[in-house]
Amino acid sequence: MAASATTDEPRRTLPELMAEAERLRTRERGLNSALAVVLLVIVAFTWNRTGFDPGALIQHADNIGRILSGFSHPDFSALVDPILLKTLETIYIAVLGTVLGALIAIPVSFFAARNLMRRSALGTGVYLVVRLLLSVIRAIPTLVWAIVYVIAIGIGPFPGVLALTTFSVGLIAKLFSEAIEAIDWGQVDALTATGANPLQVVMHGVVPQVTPYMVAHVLYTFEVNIHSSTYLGLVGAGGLGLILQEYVGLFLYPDLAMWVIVVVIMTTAIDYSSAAIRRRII
Amino acid sequence: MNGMAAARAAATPSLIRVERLTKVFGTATKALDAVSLDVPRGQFLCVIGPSGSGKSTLLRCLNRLVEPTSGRVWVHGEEITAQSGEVLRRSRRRLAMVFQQFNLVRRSTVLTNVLTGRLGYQEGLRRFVPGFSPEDRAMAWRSLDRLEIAEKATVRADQLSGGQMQRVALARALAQQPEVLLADEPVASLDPETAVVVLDYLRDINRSDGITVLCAIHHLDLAKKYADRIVAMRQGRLVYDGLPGDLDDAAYRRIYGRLGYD
Repeated sequence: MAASATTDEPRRTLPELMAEAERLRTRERGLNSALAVVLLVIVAFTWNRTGFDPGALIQHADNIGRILSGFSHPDFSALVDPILLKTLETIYIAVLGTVLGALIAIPVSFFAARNLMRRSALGTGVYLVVRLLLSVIRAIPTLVWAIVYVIAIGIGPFPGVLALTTFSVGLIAKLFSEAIEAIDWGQVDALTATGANPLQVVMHGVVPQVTPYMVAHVLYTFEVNIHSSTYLGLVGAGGLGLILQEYVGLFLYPDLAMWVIVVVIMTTAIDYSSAAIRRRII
Repeated sequence: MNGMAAARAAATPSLIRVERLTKVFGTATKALDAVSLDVPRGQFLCVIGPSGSGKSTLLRCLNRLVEPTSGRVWVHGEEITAQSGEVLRRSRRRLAMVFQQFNLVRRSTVLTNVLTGRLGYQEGLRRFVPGFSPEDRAMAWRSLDRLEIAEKATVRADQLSGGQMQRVALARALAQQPEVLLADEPVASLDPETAVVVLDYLRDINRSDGITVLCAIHHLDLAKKYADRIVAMRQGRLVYDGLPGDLDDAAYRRIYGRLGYD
């Protein structure tokens, strides 16, 4: 028994161990200081390149005051028509875009999961192609997707839905394939051992493990889509963005104030309730 | 039994035949080193040996959860190591498995877990839609009843204790109507009392149903109590093969490299 207690490393004295710990602590402090310097250089450089100028805020205080003055008397006559009507349209765009995106993304994400796919040459090929496509979809900003669809089919909420659908496919498939990659493989082994075929193994062994994540990721995507769909109208893709452009262009600050108030209330309400549901699921 | 069948039975006296099975992980680690083994039908065989000796790899090579590097495995005269696709899946039906970590689908109910033991029997379109036939459901309930855990049928698997989980895993294995049960350290995650309960069920499945059991286990006393025959592994090789009563100090030293207790 005692034989197993011996180790290859020679025993070190307490002062030696303390010196070693002290050396590590000094090194860590040095690293932290170096990190702080690097961060400072980065801020200074980007400050310079972006023409960052806090003085301009004071210099143009009267302009800012004019915009903010709208909040002292927001235009309630614009509340229902058009703001609330357009808010509803924004929510419809986000809901449909998210649902359609999820319907496409969920099957796709199994083909983008490394652990399921990289078990054969064919699987690896499909995996790499799907991953690449999803990266490209995500690399193109939602606003650019909206411009593309508006040019293709004209203005209105429909191109907005298509833009959010496209973006949602990229986001949901990424998040969900990562959930699939984190499953407990033992449960997969157990089903493989019953003689189940690969599709049966996924249906009965993988899907039950990832269902809560699927719901959570779709809800999260919906939150992001609500934010996006408030400005997609800037390029003609429906929703609240269209009237935002009008208010800013015509200097209608009381209406702009009303718009901001409604958007803040709507997005925070949806963010909070969606996040609350997500917390309960996972 | 007609002449042909008798001749075939004589040619394949063992239910399981393992010939020079070798598994190399990476480039150097030999988890299995030319292991040969014959297991007759109905035997309760315990595979003992220290951690990392290759017990689990041996069991997982039999149903090809682990792909052997070389060597051959026959079950019932059919060469498992030459099979693939649908043929391999049909062989796996005969070789049920239970695991140290139970490997139940934790978010599914107990009944659904046992039903997955029927997946290998689903035919045609059934395989592509969720759900199970009334016959499969009846079989699952019988297995649950057999393991005396039917009252938990509608409970989610992650709500069970370890011992209950392993009984559900055994019910899933039984629902598979196997000829062989591969038990990979089935009691290593259980307390001693529960371990005995689970092994009693395992012995009953072996004795009453005639299911051949290969059980990897590192508790020597439990192996001696339940096994008809014990084989021991060390560093990927078979270093002992005999009756439980013949496992003396000399054999023990050969297996563990020293005298002592776990």
